[in-house]
Amino acid sequence: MPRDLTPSTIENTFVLKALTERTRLDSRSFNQLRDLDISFSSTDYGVVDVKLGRTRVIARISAEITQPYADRPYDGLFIISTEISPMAAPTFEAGRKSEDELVISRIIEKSIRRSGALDTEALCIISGEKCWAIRADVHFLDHDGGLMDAACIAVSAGLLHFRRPDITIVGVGSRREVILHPITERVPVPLAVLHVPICVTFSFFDVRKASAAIAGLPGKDNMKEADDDDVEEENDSSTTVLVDATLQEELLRHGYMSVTANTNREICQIQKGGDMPVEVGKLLSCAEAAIMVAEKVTKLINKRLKEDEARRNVGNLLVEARAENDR
Amino acid sequence: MASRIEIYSPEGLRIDGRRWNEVRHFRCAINTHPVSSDGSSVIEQGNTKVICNVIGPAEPTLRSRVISDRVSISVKLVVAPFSMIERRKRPQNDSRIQEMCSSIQHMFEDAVIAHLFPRSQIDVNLYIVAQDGGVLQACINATTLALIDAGVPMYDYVCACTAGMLDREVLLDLNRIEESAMPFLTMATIGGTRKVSLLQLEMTVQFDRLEPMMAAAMSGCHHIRDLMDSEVRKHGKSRLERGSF
Amino acid sequence: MPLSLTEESYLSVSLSQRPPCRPDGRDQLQFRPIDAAAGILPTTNGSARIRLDDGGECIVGVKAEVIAVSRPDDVHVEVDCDIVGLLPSSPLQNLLCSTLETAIKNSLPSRLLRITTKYRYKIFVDGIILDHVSHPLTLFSMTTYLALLDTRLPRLAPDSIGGNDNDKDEIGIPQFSSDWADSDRLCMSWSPPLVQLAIIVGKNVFVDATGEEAEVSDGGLLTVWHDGRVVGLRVVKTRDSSKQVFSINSISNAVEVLASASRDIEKALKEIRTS
Repeated sequence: MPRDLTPSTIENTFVLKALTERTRLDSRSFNQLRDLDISFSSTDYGVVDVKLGRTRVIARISAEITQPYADRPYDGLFIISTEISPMAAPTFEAGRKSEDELVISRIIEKSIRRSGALDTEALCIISGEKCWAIRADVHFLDHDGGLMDAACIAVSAGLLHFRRPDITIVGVGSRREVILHPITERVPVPLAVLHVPICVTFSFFDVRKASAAIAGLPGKDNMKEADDDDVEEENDSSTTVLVDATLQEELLRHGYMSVTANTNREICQIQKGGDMPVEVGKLLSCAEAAIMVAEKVTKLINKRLKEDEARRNVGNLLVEARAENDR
Repeated sequence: MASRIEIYSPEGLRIDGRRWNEVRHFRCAINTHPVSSDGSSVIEQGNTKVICNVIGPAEPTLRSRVISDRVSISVKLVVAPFSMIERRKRPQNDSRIQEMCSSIQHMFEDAVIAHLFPRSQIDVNLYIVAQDGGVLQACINATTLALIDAGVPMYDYVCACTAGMLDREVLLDLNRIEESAMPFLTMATIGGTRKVSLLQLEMTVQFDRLEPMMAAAMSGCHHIRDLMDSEVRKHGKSRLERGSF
Repeated sequence: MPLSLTEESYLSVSLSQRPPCRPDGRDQLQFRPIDAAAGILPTTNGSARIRLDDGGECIVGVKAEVIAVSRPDDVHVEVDCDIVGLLPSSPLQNLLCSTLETAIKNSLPSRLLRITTKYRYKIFVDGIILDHVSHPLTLFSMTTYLALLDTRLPRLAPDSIGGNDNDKDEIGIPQFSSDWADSDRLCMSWSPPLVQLAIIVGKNVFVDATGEEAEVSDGGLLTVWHDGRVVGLRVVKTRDSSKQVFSINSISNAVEVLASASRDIEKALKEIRTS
């Protein structure tokens, strides 16, 4: 079993020392995202390539017609598959779910599917008989931290970009039939995306623990730390919060929280596992910061979507041929 | 089904007759399984019942579990098929269960004074025998008590509580029906401080509503800490009087 | 922890001599004290918990579901148990579940599970064995016995039943009385089977063997006790290298011993339920 890479002590000390001096190794500020690049496939709908710094994720949305679940006849199916292959990083093993992978898939599931980003009722064709099954396959190509953030952006953008073939229902009663119009015949239909969830991960560093490590005294003043808590509670300056950590920072961090937000100022999901305790006010300000990031990222997605549409819309044919009208 | 039930009446009463800021009946006991484990506890929060056994600190059974500078904790969670109204058997590798295990594991790796037990392991076994909402919080509280019973040094109690938001009303410590009717969060704090160790929110909620929910959950955590503390003190006192350790 | 050679030889000599001498001074037929409670879980139809002196503990919950059936005489019972520390479908788990499931299915009259002509109760017996030092079969069986004694099945709602039995069969989906006090005990006229395990060392037979005693045994024998007699018999492996070769005498001896032990245990468990 490949083991997690453990950063060397010297690396550890260097990164943490730099953080106490308010510097990140890639010279970003603490609340700055890495360069985000979103590009869409020029041929297929719903294929998105997201680059977040050196992290790279491709999401592919596909649709097929199947039978809905018996207990939910009016709902279509929406499946997100997030299997991490060794292509992303050698620590991931094919076919074996590691704990990181579990956390990532659960967070993406909660962020996008459970928050109702896709209106599954709109996927119903004939209740109880036929519905669309939308499938999002996420491929992690390169891992330099922030896999779930990148995957979430990729799936959200993919859903917005995806077009499913248009259909017509003919006949009545039990003799109803569905005619599928290939996208070369009719202008394909976008999905009913209700909101765009964006996941942001905050990494926490305890500077006091860090300074202990720097002094070469691992955990020595841990006991004292517990006593200090009451005094420093209100002004908890020892916690450093980083947005969008790189892999190195991820391996060294003492705790993290991922927040999924959208532009409606809604929080879709918060996941802070049980690591490093953080003062409650700090968590709230993280949640607020997540909304700001979500707004920024959504803006970028929309900009890229417009560019892509302009590129496809040669001679304004798409607008003319569209079935629905502007509401 | 939930829509037919009045979750919160205009008079300010919930389906089980509580006010918004009241926790459910909380009963806990420690040292319940003295023979089979080093530390044990049983927690009942309303109709949710969790048994926790802690074995260790002990020599690791597997070499791969040796961590040279601190103790390694492993958490196993068994959900009884009869724990809910409908019988349901969950596979051991259910992703929800695994997620809970890993949350609890990380939490207690930070909560116990880990560097005192290098190269050793602590096994935490949790059994959910009845569930009526707030399963994660009950597991966390039970683990805290069992670790205290096992004599594992910790910085402070880790105590957890849930809070939900129905329209504009905050409700504390939800039961199963309430959980299915509104967004809710689970929070775990370190003792009576304002430090949050675990925070989980699974459904969409307006950002402005987050703060009152977190404030309520925090006061619930502090209340539960006091309840657990009094039980631990009571148990310690009775043991002192009996003169048995 | 495996026994040392000295320990093993001491144990096997003292257990196989006549009269035998058990390390804890017990009689061949004597059980260790158990701590038992019934009706501990409100979400189940019946539940019980038994804890042994050595820390072994088992919790059993019985749940009933309504199912539609095509063949009226089938008895629908499913026994499942989770042995902590062992993987699912281990040989031990299979032994426990299959033995009890067959025993209950063979003894439970199908009329007790009848609701209407079309609907039956299906009984799920689920156990968790939290810890076991000695063989968990007896523990699981005793806990199941107690949980089944505690099991109550709701009656049909009075207004959904007409004057005679035919009306009762006509109704579609059964409606149950919402009053929990208005329910029938499953074990009014039926007494659940009890499975007991004894180990055989030489010519001697022991009930309620400790883990160490089982380590030096030649093998084990289980009996299914129902309604005052032994209705089933099976040889069980009690350790990896057990010989499982017994004389006819020791088998008949073991059956006799187990029969008398089962009678006592049944009486004791029934007293727990009523107290």
